[in-house]
Amino acid sequence: MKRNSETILRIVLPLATLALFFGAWSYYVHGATISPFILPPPEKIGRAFLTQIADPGVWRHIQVTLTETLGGFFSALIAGITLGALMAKLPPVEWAFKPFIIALQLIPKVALAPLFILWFGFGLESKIVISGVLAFFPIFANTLVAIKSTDAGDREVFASMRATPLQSFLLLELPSALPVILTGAEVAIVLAIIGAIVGEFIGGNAGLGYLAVVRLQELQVDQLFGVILILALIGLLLYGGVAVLRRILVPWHQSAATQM
Amino acid sequence: MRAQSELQPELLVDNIGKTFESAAGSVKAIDRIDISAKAGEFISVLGPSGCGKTTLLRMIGGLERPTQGDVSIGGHSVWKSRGDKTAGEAVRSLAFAFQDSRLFPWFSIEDNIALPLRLRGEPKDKRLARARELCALVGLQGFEKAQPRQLSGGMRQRVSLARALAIDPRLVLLDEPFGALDAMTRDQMNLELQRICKATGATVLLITHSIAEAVFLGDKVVVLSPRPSHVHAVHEVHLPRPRTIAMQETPEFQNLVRAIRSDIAGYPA
Ligand SMILES: Nc1ncnc2c1ncn2[C@@H]1O[C@H](COP(=O)(O)OP(=O)(O)OP(=O)(O)O)[C@@H](O)[C@H]1O
Ligand SMILES: [Mg+2]
Repeated sequence: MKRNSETILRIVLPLATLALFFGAWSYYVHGATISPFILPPPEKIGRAFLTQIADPGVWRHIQVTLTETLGGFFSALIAGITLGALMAKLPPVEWAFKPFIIALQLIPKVALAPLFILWFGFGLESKIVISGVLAFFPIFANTLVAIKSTDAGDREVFASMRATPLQSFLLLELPSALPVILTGAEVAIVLAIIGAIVGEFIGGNAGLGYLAVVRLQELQVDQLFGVILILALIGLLLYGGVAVLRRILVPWHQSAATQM
Repeated sequence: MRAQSELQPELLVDNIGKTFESAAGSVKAIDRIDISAKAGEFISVLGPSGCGKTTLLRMIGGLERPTQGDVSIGGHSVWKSRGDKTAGEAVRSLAFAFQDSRLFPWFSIEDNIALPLRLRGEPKDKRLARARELCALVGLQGFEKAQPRQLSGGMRQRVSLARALAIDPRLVLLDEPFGALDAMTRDQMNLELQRICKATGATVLLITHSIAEAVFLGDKVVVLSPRPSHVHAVHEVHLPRPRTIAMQETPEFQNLVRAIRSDIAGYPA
């Protein structure tokens, strides 16, 4: 019985919070405390969202942003895992490069975006680079730490079986590091979206970030909210994608069962 | 030739010692240990915590370099001629099982058991056939495709043992493999281990904290002193095989246990 009422509360309470939120929003906007120009009422935003996803022109922007985000994310995944693993296994590589990677991490990387536009142009490439640069660090740092902290007892088992360093890497270190690498990837995918949008803000002619700026200039605030809603959904979708990746890649790990 | 190889011990731990050097100073873990075992013999090693039992096992297995002495397995030196072919030969045919089962959760049970063969480049069908064989040997038929987390502690320990046996080792090194198990499961595992050892004919070195387990399984019980350790006493166990749980009640068994216990009580303070 106890469990049952808990289950009900777990469904009802968040819905109540949501209702309260939208209720208050409608109340303030319709009660004219806030100008509907600054904050349109929820139903108007809903309509703007629906008209936009019915518009093939908007889908083209969605496609552009997705391409940039995924392009940046997967480049960061490949570069981050490769470099992280190399540094974990070859200390001289770590000594040579790590100080500079840390130093670069300390620069607010968004500030580099104008440079990348200058270097790579106004098309997809510059956004992929910005997105990739933002997404790189969490993947890299997690890979490095995870591979280095492979359990000493597990290493001993591989040593006792006379495994070669390559075998230990592929069959022990990489699989045991994977859950932590995926945690880095979860952070990275969110940063990758931010990178793509920022790039579109400052130097784009396509994509949802560009569209948001256009809507603002047209003073179509409800449409602007619609774009933001689409971006939120894309974020949810991509984050969910990484969670699915976790279930596929590390079904044996706790985190695959507890995620979402 | 044949007669000579029979005279030669399968395992010879010769005047071995280990001092750990670190920034905090040096720790003499093992003063001097000599052990010899004939092929197929089962040696139990008892000793207080921290006396260097795990270190001893690691030196025998080629994982830790001794600061004195050497080990030979089947006449091949483990440490003297490191790097040449015979040294590799010495350690190639031995296997470890550790206190905690150390299974890898990203492999199924059969892949865990077949791992040593995979590392040796055996083809997949061959090593999986061997894994199935070993699953049966340790009483885990039907669990080949299971995941380690689906098994109980005792079952995992069996898998760990099966993995050690995968390469058909001539020498098996067991570091308190049943230390984490309850008394009943432990009795069960001891019976199984006895049966498995008979089936494989391997020489076994078992480290344990249980005097009863040491006597039950061993042909010889080696009692080590506290650190820096040396061999304090060696007891031959002449109980007939196969040994049964009931045998633990016999005066002969209990006399041995008592004698070993008084050895341990007789350590210098
Ligand atoms: N890598 C190392 N560096 C320094 N000292 C070590 C190292 N390994 C072991 N020792 C020391 O050597 C001694 C013996 O350690 P060992 O693990 O062999 O003991 P043990 O007999 O297996 O103990 P237990 O029964 O508790 O497992 C201990 O005092 C330990 O502190
Ligand atoms: Mg130990």
